[in-house]
Amino acid sequence: MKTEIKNATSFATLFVTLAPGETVVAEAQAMASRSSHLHMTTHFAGGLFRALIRRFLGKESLFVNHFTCPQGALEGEVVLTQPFLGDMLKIDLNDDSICLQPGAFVACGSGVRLRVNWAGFASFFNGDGLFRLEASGVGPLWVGGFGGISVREMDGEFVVDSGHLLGYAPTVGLSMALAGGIFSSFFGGEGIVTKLRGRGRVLLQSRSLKGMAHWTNGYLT
Amino acid sequence: MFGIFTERLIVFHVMIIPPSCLGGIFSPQLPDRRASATIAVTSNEIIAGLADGSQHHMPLDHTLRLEVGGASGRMVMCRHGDVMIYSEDPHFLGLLQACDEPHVRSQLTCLEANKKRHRRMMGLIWTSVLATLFVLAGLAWWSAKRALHLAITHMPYTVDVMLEKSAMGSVNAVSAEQYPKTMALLNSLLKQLKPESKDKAIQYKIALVDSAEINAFALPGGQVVVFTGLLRDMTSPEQLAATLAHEVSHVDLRHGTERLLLSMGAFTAARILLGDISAGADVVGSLVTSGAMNNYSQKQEDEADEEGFKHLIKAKIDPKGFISLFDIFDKAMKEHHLDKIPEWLGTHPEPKSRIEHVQSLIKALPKDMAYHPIDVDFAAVKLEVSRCRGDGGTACQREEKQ
Repeated sequence: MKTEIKNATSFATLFVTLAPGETVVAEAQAMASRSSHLHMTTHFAGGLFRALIRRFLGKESLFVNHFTCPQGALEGEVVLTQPFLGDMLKIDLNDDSICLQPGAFVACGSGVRLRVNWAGFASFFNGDGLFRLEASGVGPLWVGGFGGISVREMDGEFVVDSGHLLGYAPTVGLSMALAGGIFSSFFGGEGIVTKLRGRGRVLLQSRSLKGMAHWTNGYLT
Repeated sequence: MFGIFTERLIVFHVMIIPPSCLGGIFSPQLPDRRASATIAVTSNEIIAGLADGSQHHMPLDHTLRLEVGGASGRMVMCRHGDVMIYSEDPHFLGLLQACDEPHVRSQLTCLEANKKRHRRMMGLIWTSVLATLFVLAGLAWWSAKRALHLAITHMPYTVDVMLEKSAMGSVNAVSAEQYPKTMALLNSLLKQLKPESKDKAIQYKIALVDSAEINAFALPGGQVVVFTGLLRDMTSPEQLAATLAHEVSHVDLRHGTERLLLSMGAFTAARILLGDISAGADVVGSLVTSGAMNNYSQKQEDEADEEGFKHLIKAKIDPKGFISLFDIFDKAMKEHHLDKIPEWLGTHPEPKSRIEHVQSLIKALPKDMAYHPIDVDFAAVKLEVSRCRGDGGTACQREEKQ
């Protein structure tokens, strides 16, 4: 499988070239174009029950699409995008896992398993739902962010404004906290933030969709 | 052969493999600073075995720090300097119990206590959440019922008439000329019952349907529909009067309109639940609507029995007609094995419980109650309906022509 992220960082698009027998799994509606001879099959993301949870409680699609290049055919290409502007990042999973916030998943290799896990009340009150997506296994994983994506290795505590967190290692725990004191939290515009605790990798996006929506709403009245 | 086997046995005996679980390691010595690993614990160290065959050892001494957390809240993390070994496997804590170091053992005791406290707190939170949801659901149900009652109270009776007209389009009623004696009896009983309309728009009238089905129903607007199958099984005009009194009460109490409003609520709920599967929701919606047109709830049936009883007493008609009518239903249900359906699953209460209810109402009446007998040749009416075969009236018409 040959992959390339083009038009980064603002309009990142993932170009996947599949050799015969290879498969890439993509979020529903992520496909922009594909070679006509590639087979596309639609599956529930992680089984029916988990897919339903993912759809209704995790704000993700009910389905994922599998694009496969048939045996004996020529190489084929599938182009995948995300619905919002921003960058994409490739993560190579090597028998480990990563938790993703709603909307972050773009695509993965066939060796990566998607699961829906309980995220806790902190995630719910931060507006990210009661369930989170966890990708584990072996293979490439592509995540998409609104704006640029940065990776940070943390050890200890770290504070992220809600809406800027894209993903985190399972060794990192989430809790809800005030950005400062009561006065500065609400009048300083930061309000409630996500406090991360533990050791591991954290993915951050430079823009917040909620912030963008709030800013845009001011001009729509 | 025996020698080799013995030798192998000895080798297996010497290599004691400690129990292990899956996890990972963070270490600055690793190329990517992290790797997944198989974790094993001995009495004095934790061993992380990597996929490339290498092993990392973490001594279980007084500098070891234990934490439980991570995304799931169940990740056990062991820190020693800048190295961290972790696992989410529930057996990992059990493996650490094998350690002899007092410092580690005291941390384990502390973690166990924290775990129990956390479990208790989560139990409390979940109980509170469930209790709140239960109370909210109860409040929502009560509010919905109140709102429905208010909606029906304020809904103009012209809506009932409109519903009646649309529903009567699908009822294949016979003409009065085909069943003159039956229709005369039905109309005279209705006149005797003198149901009082709460609104001018409500006009009580009767239609007869030639069908073998033992049934009768009322539509919003005042239309009462009686099936010939029911008449055929009756033995007295009081039973027919009880039937009409019951059906007229459904109209009085606006049960049909209530059911329709409820079905609209259920339809909307089905659409929300099914999300964008609109075709499925349409099927569910039509089923609910047709069900509401034909069946009242058990509570509504009880109310109609009680109100119908009052109608009969007011018209000086013997209410025992109710008891023998419910006996007919009981026999019919037994014939069709419907008596095997639990009462709470059926749309109508069990005939036996309805009989008991009416008997209790009769007992409460003054002992000197006098009733007017219904002056009608009921045998002639029965003969008239028995000539037809329950095929919508065509057989009856043929016989009359012959």
